[in-house]
Amino acid sequence: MTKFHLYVDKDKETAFLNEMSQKGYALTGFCAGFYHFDSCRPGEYVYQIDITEGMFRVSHDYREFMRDMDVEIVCLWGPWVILRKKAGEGAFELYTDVESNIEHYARIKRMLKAVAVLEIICLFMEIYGAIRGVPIGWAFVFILGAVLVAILKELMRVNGILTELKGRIGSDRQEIQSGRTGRISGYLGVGLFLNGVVLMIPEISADGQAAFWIGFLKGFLQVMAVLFMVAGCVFTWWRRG
Amino acid sequence: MEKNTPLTEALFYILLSVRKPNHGYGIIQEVEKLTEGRVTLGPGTLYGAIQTMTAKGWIRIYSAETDSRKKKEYIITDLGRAVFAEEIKRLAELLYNGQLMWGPKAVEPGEPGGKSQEQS
Repeated sequence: MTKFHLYVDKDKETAFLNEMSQKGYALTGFCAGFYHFDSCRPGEYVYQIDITEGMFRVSHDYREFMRDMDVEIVCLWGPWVILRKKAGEGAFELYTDVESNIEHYARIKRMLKAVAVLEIICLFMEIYGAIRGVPIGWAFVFILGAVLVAILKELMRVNGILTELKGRIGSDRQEIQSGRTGRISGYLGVGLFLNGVVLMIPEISADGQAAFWIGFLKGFLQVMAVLFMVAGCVFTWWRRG
Repeated sequence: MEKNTPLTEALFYILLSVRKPNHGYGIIQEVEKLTEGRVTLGPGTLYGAIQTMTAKGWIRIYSAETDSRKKKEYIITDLGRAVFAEEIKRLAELLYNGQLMWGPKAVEPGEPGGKSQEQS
């Protein structure tokens, strides 16, 4: 049986895989949102999802270690590793203390940040294309925008988890030292400034090439302004939260 | 020596479990036994800890046998023992000073703070 799902939230994905296992469907493969299940005894396997430094590969050490632990590597996708263990062989939870959970979620956060930056770059390229009149350009802009919002939402969730975990062992001192608390992000200021610049560009009646370039410049600045303002609001909110 | 203490519970008990050669599963079982099930190590936690401590030179792979099908064993190094001794010194100080809470006399078994050995 194959099911299609898009998860940004790794914890929800884990819950989904374990729910399927409870129903008698064991994941055996994953590719780009398609989950392939074979039948198993209900609850036969417990699934866990890990993140590693590599892409589509794990170190020999990791492979050997998990084998020694009777943990099976089901599949690799990007930086993600889907693991499972027979439920009868005892509890299976990858990270069992606060410190290693912090490391785990910090790794997820770094990965999400890198993806968010790539998304923003792609989004700009698509916006440029759409303004130049590439067919279905705006559709791509919309899709990329939606993905970006999903990633930013997940980043906020992971950030919340990290703050909570660090609070538990009292290691949130670093953030106070570097003055990260309770300030308004500089991005917000940049966004508002750009927005002001756009408003100050006078309406010029021109035709042909000139009109296109003025329109392009205005559109580009407006998009930048909106992105900076959104980023500013998000970062400000993080610092307060 | 750079400041390595306090150790996390996981690091403390893993170091203790590799005072003699021990493999991953053995470490998990020993820690569970020592703490009567209070501390259980997940594979991710243990893997990370072993990688960190190997990089720091606190433990190393114990390779008396070169049979690759056998589970990999780890053993503490001299540096690891030094770090562990440092931590024990710190913990002993905590325990000693902690007894001030109940006055100058030493804590006896069964009192608050002492490990209860009595049967109810």
